[in-house]
Amino acid sequence: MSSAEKKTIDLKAALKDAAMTSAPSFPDFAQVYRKAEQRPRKVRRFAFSAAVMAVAAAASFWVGIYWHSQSSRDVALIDSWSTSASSVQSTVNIGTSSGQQSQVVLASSPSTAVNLFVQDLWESSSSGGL
Amino acid sequence: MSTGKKESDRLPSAVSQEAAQSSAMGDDPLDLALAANAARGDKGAFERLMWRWWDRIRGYCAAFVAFDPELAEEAAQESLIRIYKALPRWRKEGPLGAYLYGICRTTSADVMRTHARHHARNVQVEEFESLSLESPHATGETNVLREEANKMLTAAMQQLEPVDRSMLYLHEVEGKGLSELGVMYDLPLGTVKSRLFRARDKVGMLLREMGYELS
Repeated sequence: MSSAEKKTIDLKAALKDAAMTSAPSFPDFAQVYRKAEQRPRKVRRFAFSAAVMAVAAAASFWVGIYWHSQSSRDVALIDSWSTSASSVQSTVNIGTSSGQQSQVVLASSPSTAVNLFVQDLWESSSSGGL
Repeated sequence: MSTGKKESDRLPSAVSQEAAQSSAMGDDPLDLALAANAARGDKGAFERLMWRWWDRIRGYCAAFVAFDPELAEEAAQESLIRIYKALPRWRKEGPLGAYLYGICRTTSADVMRTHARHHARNVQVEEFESLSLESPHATGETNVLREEANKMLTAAMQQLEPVDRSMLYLHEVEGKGLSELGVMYDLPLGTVKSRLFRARDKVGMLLREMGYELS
């Protein structure tokens, strides 16, 4: 394009024209006041997260309390342990009697692996039962 | 207020001294009085102040977001909300205009950032080049030519950084001087001068490629 064909643009007028054409004509003050009175989104998000975390912490605390009280009530891996001089065959007896809890009686010779395992469990328990 | 005292408790002479000091910074005394009342929660004063500033605010926001109507509307409206919230915290350390434009600048930048996450807002090079192929002389009507010229200018302005765009707008349209711009953008005078020169030069070059000259 030759220089003769070039058109001129008044930068100031054109900038103002473009700005005024693209910008909104009127302010919405009702929206300003409504949004200004709302708590900021970040604050709302933080408050919601804090509330969720507090509920989760409280719930996990009470579940932990319940679990702790339940786990030590009825569960005992080894109630008693005794040794005898006579040699015995390795046996497992499961028995129930009315009014009593189920019992599992394990008998084994001292050198067997199951005996060593059970003895280790027994010794690792400070209160004499797990 | 920054002094921690209620405005109504202050001596009239102290207020007038403050107004005189701010007027020396280029602020209109009426704007200062309205801003002081708006800071105390007077909605009427706030609305009157904003009406006085509305053309400047919306023009600045539109220039910052490269004349995108959707972004310009969001930026201008969000700026009003932030100004309403921020006026009570204005410490009057600088001109009111610089404070308001500063809020508009950060708001417009936030709006652009938010939208950029979802859309690529910048005009691609292909689109920019395709604009230069369109003939602005098809109808010969003045309005069409003006619209086409604005379209070209908008496309050229979109190639600038938002800060440069807004700086050029304030300088050209609002008549802000270099020192005022330096205060507003917290830049040295030489930097403002060179950025304005480069911005204008780039716009001029892009327009020349499309067959236009800056007057």
